[in-house]
Amino acid sequence: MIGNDIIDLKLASRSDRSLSPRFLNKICSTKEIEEINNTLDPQLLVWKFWSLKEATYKAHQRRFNLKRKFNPASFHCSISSKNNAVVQIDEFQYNLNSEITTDYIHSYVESGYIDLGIYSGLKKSRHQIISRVGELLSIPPALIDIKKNENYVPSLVLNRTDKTLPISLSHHGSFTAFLIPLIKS
Amino acid sequence: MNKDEIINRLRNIVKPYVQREEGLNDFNEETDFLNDLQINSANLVDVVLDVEDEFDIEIDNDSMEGMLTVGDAKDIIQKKLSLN
Repeated sequence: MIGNDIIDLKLASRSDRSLSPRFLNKICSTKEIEEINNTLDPQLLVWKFWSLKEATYKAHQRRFNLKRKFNPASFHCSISSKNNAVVQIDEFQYNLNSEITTDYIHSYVESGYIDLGIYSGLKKSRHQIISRVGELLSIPPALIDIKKNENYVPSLVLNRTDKTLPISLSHHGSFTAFLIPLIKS
Repeated sequence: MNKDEIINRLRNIVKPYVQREEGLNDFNEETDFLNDLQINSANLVDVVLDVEDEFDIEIDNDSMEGMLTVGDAKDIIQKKLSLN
């Protein structure tokens, strides 16, 4: 059950729409909109909600092998502390971790041991991602491939072993993040 | 409004958000916003809002849910226009 999402705050801040009621109504619940209207940094909270929703969407879609759907408003966020939140979709609840720096917001579903990489300046290219994954897992990049299933959910394929590992990828602006469950030995 | 005109207008709407320009060369009903055009998902909301403005329609969240390809968008626009 992995899912992560990164928001490049520099890029996000360029959106002049993110605080408009029309934009918010498409992605948030009434309760979330109320919270946005009552916080000191509304734009930051919009993008925090967005990253929580996206990360949860990815985990939920992978978990049940669901067809793609663009339904951000169906994911309901409750912020529990500075770095923790709970997101509900239908009858399912997910616990998330969210980190905010001056440059990005990164959120991911908590699911045991994971390897996490956050990089800036990577091109959204397969090659660059694979080489970073190789470094992280200490596997030669030539032996790694990324493939997506019929619902566009990505997995790492370790060549010559038939082994696949789930991977959650996120790219926004100049940031790339990915998350892989740690192989328990 | 005929199908080709809708698709043509859609092409102009998505253009500023496209990160994979080649995807615009072969722009048809099968074109996938996220995979073929690599529009990031936050910008997909912008696309929906721009479509509302361009065609003077309202796209409710239930319709937005299934708006993943140019064909999906075209179908939704045609449906909403027929109700106007």
